[in-house]
Amino acid sequence: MKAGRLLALMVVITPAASVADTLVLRNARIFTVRSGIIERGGILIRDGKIASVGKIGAVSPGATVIDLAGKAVMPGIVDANARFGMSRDNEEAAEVTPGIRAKTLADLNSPEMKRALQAGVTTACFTPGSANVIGGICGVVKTGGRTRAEMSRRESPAVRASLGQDVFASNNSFRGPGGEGLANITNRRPNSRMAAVWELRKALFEADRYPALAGMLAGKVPLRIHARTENDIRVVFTLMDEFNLKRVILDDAVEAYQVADQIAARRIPVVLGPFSDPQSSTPEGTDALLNTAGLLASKGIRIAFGSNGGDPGQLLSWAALAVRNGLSSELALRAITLSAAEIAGVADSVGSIEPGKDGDLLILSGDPLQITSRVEKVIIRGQVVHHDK
Amino acid sequence: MISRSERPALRCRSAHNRPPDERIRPPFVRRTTESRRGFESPVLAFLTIFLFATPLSAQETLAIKAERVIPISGPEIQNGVILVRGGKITAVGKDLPIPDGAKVLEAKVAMPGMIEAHGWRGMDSPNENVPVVPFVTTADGLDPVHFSIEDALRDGITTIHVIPGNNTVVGGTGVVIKPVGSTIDAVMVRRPSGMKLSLQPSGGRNRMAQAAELRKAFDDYDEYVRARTERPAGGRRASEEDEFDPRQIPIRELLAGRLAAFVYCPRDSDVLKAIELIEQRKLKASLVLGPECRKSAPIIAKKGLKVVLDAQVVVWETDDDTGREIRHVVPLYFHKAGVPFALQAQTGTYGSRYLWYQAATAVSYGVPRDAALRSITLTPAEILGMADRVGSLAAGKDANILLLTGDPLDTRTWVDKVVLEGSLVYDRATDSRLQKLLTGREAGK
Repeated sequence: MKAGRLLALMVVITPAASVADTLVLRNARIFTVRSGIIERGGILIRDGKIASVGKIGAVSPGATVIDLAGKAVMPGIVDANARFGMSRDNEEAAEVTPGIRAKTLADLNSPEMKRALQAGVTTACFTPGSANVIGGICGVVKTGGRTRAEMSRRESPAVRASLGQDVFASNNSFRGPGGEGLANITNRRPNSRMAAVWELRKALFEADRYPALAGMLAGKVPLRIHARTENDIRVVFTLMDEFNLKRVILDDAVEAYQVADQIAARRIPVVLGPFSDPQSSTPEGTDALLNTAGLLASKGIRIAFGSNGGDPGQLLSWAALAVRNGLSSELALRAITLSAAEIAGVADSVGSIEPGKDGDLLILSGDPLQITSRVEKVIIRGQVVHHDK
Repeated sequence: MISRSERPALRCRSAHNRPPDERIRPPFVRRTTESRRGFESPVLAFLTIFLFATPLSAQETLAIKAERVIPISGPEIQNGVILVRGGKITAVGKDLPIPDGAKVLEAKVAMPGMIEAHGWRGMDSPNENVPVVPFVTTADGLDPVHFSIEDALRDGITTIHVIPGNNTVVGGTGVVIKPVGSTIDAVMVRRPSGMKLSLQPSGGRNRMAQAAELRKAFDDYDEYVRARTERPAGGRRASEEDEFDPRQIPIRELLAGRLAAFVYCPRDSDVLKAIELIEQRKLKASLVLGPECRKSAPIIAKKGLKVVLDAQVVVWETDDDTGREIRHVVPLYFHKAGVPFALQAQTGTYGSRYLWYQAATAVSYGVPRDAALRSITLTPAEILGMADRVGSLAAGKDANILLLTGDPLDTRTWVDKVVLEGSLVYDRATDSRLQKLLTGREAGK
């Protein structure tokens, strides 16, 4: 606690890029994510980047040193499917809006963003909402940092499309009472699950009309498709074959376990969340399980978790509950860090504790995958941006 | 599927099913044997999905051996033994000798069944539209084979308080049930459990009108009693034999201290109004609090009241001066103030549907482990006025015991077996629904 206060003070009083920009964590239980757990290890962060992990020798005077007395350190959480801090996440003027950038919708000063940061979410891959057939372009931001500019990251990690109820449920019937309504902006297509598929197919067919789709069709950026039900997931397979889509990611695929073999064969990563109690009402009436993550992982499918309109502060709890329900601890931690970073296209800089990556770390009161543990400190690029009192 | 006749545990109405005090059971809830039969149908019996071991006869002894026994009412016991006979715990101790012929169950950890102090499990609509309905009872609305009650059992909740909702003024009485049985009488533990009074504005009333309506309900009762005893000219004075208006009986019981009040205060400003009513009318009461009421923890402590906390363990608030987001850990306020508190689960949600999860969350933010465990066992038992029967492992108490695979607050721990009133009523190995949710396959496929 004292060290934290001292550190926070130093962050305020020291100019940037001095020796004080060196942070050393000693005596930590390091959950590296990529290479297992290091007991009683150290981490050296210099100028915001992780310089070394494991044995840390003598450090230059002036560097901030925190002795963690065996406490757990893990990489900052990466939300693979973030929607928090957006007042509206769907552009409603049309059902195909590939030019919309989700990042620009996210309010970096919103209460939700600050809460997510305190809960340990340091990187968020924002996705457009799921009400449009093609909602727009995903964008990755850091949830905290010294300046706003520092938060901004990649431009275009993925194009986002949606199928199913979210796309058609809020659209009024084309043939309204009296036959009027064609001119009404709320009377949009599609009105059915099958028409949602048709609209997506049409958009892909006419992709040359949309510059944002060209890179996706060329395989440079992936297409993320929100598809909860088994039949919509099967449609994704058909579209992949029809349009020769090489890189597809499934979002909120609650029923993915029913077609896990095909998802594995096609090497499609799956983003899950928010999780609902399968005994209660589930989105789209899907047949949810407790152990979807574990079943997908057992087929070798890459899985990540995303808050997807839910509370990003729950991501760590979801990982813990996934372990309870059958996922391995290693993959559960990976689902909210490295796998999420890979899906967001930023695994070169975040998602694990290894030299060269950003110094985005969480210090926890205990095992990260226990509900009884909490995030005590959040570090972004070597700066303590939150510490729990 | 085992037929009904093979499951005596479900059919027997043990002594526990009777209300502890017949006097306070209002006539309008007394059922005849005929109407009780009306609830029993083969369909309901079939719906009850758990397979139960044969219950022990009164003479048989059950011994539960656990590496750790967590009695709640005392320190943890290593290599503990719990002896059960006739549905009751007869002894709890370290390395107790096990009587010859006793049936033995083994576990890593044993603890008392968890207790839900307040909720609406099994109710499709917990609120009546009419504001003052002291005479309705959740016994007439709850579905004893509802999924949420089945979940209570697999989640280790063995005592469930089902009480009317908060969108009324005087909401009606609740019942305490157990999660085993296919008819309302089979699941019944205690009726009535208490009366819901609510300060949450409802039915178009604003906050002051809601409070006025609540006070008026008691004033109306006074008026009824006055009119009854002061008969107009020509009439005779009402005597004890004259029928008391059954709609007013629950209020009479409330004022006589024979029925507890559960006063819902969503906002901090409601707490003082509730305390005023409780003191003025000398009610035996507990408070059911919204998260904002944390600010009133010191005054609640001074009044010696017990509280049921909102299922939202952690709430956020924006500091208007600094723009910072402040996290408030609600149970921590009450713990620090010395107020006995019960935690609620959020039925039907992922994670917070478990009482242990709520307790573990509280622990992560600094509530001591013992206080957190007490908040899901003994404190709710006290709030329900049933601490002599449930909530801890002690000789003489009902044998409601959880056999766990590990520490109760460990995320990876499962409820392995549940002993309820001395009978083994749940075994994870035969919980086909849980197996389906974990493996994606139906049992045996």
